[in-house]
Amino acid sequence: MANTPLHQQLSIMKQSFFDEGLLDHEQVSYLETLENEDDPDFIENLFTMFLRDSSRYIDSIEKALEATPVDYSVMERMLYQLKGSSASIGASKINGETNTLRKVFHDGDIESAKASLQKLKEEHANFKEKLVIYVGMLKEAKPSEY
Amino acid sequence: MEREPSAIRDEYAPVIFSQETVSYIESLDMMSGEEDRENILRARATGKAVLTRPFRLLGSHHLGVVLTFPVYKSKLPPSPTAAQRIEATAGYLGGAFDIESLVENLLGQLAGNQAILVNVYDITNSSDLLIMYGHQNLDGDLSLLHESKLDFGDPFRKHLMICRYHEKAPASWAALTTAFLFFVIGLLVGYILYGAAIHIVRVEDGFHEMQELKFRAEAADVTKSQFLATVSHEIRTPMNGILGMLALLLDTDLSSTQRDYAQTAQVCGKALIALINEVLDREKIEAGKLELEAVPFDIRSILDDVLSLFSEKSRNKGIELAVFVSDKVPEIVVGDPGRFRQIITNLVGNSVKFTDRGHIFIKVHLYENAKAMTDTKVNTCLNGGSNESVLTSGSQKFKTLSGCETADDQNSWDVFRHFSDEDFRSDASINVTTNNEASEDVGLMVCVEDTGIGIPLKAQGRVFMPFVQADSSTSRHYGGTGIGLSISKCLVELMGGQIDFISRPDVGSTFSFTAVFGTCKKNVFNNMEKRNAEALPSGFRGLKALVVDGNPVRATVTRYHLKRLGILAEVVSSLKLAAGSCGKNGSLTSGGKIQPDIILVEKDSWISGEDSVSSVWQLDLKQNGHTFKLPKMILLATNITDSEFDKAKGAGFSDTVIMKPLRARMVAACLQQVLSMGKKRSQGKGMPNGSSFLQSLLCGKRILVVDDNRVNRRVAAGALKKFGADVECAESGKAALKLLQLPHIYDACFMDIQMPEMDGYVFKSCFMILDFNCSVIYWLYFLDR
Repeated sequence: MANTPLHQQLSIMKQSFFDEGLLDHEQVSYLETLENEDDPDFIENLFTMFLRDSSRYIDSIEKALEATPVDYSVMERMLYQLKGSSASIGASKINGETNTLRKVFHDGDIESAKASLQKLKEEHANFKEKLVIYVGMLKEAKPSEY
Repeated sequence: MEREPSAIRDEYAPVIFSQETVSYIESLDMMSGEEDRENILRARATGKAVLTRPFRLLGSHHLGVVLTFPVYKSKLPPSPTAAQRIEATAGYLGGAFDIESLVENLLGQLAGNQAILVNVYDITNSSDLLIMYGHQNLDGDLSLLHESKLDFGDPFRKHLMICRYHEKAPASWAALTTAFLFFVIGLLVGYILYGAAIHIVRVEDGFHEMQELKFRAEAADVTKSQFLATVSHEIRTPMNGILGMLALLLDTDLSSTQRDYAQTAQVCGKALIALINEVLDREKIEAGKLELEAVPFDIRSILDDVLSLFSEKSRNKGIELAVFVSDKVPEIVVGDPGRFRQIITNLVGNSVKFTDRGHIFIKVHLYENAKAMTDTKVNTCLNGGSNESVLTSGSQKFKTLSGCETADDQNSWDVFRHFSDEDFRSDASINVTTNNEASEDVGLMVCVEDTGIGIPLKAQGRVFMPFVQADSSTSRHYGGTGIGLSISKCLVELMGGQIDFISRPDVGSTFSFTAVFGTCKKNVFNNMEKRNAEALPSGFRGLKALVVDGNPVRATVTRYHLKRLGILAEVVSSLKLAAGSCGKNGSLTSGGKIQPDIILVEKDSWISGEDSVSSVWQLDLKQNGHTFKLPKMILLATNITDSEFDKAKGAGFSDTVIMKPLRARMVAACLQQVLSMGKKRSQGKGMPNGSSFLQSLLCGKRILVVDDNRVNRRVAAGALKKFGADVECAESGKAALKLLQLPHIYDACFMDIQMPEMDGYVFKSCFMILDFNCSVIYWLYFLDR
């Protein structure tokens, strides 16, 4: 890997993710080892997939929570999915927020749940913004092979 | 008869005309007889013919009747009254029937054998039977009467004829016998028909019974297969658990007794699993469900693997184990590597089991070459001269791998040498001439030759029958179930080949089989190679070696393995020659002999040859005045004792002894050590500790990942792919079930059981389907923190 300014930027950004606790260092390193010649865009695709899926999950959670009566099964399902995906890619903060929301929701406190959901949405928006930039840079940094 | 003139009457009916035969009645007055008169009057009145009562006729005095016709004058009104008739009468016409003569004449013509008695009666008056013919008394056989009515044309009178036999018919033997015979025949026919009917009924019953039994048998067969599948799966799962645990246990710190116990348990467990797999294989083959893969693979590496399996055992038994693959066999062939390995393992396993001395030699040639070999052999045989034994220093030795006699003359040394030399001479590099036709089939012939106890002649016919071993005691002495060869036979035939053997008791057996494989271009394999085992190290290319071995077959094998590593090898049969050939031509630029970088000496040759080798060496070398690096001397041995090892070290051999059976990879490792080339860079990314186990477990396996979360699927697939597995994903339990339709191709399945629609039924279905080399690993959610 050449040490171009782009690459330097990338590593700075990655480090910031780790420092801010947005991404888990260990998990991301592990994911990087899964990348190989057969699947060079593994990380980008994974992150993009996560962003799309997580937005969807959060929307569904919001809708389910707003509905009267509250749609428990959908909530449960979506929370579970979000928890899984975020853990898989090492999005620790999102994972943490999801777990909190889950706990509050299981306790039965709808109001607190709504408040927790707002927090989750904020985190998610923040994470998404940064991750989109990161993925974009990753794509740029890949050497063109064709 | 007295004639007298007729009395005075009102009417007279004299006979005017008469036949000559009855001329005596002429001028007789017919009205004189009472009956006649009555008759005439009646005839006259009715206008019809009238018969008299029977009476004795004049003249013949026979019984008879007279028929009288009236003759009228022409003027008779239509439908006249009786009076009118009487008025109109002109005269009468009469005829006498002599009944007696008549009947007698008739009877005379018709009587035949039996005397027939006839009675004719006038039965007009039923109470009073007037006899017309015959005796008054009815005698004769009264039991059989035949009555027939006679009609003389007179409606007024009725006549009856009774016929009977004069004598009672004797109890006719013919009749009796005939009747009896008929009866008997009838009985017989009846009996036959009855028998036939009963038979049919029985057959039908039998048929129905058979049909029922057949259904039951088929059902039982199906049940058996299901049972076997289920049971074996049930057994396999915990067995795999046991073996896994044992493997983990052996990885920990154990005392030697503990290790010994654990290893024994492991061996037993592996044997059990092997047995179950064999039985299942048999089932699959019988059910016709076995399908062969068609993937590219490397024959040589498979043979290496098989050799590794048996190296320890053969070494312990002191048997020489070697493999030789002809150069003409392509590097990569397309076929089913697992099954091919199974066949080879089975044959070599059998050889190892039943051989206590000598060698086991596996040869792979192109089928055409093999055929040509046998032709050559025939030719040389015809030319005279024994190809088998060679007198070497007083003891008779055969030109085979270990010097022991083998069962099969065909693959004798001379023929073998002829072809292998050709191989070695033709190209100096490993690359086989790639054929222009990309995917043509190649036929290979594989021979497994051993010098074991052989197969007794009586048992040779049953060798390929399942569950049959040569002798009932074989299982006890040597172990095994006897299924292996039959499975091998089926597999070989599935591969489009044939398996056969030649065996001589107490000499040895040679099993050979042919198989058809496809070929493919090399690039296709390169992709696979990355995931599978590492390729042979290429660091030895161009090295030169000298092999010292008195046994030509064995030397060829050594040369073959060296060639696989890219090392050029020359063979000499003794150390003296070796020293001579290398030492004399000291300079590197002199043409002809090669200066070897390493010298590989077969232990047997060294021991049987002369001692203090290195001294001979150094002497020669120094004589030339060149001081150059002494080539490394390495010993090749099947087994080596400590004393031999010390002796070798003392004589100048290096510490590393290359142990037989030769495997290219192992030879490379030893050479590396000797030549200190340093650790070769390991291919692939750095893996965490303990992953080599996973690598070997997962490499090349087909895995199904089931999770409804996209991201998780991706990560799981990526992780498994890193270990070289072939991953497919499914989104839900239902999708997974579709993919898992039998026959499925998966070796394992990772499934998130907390998916929606993942109820007990779906789960159990997945579990039940996943048998046949597949184990389900439930993945609860390992990323859950």
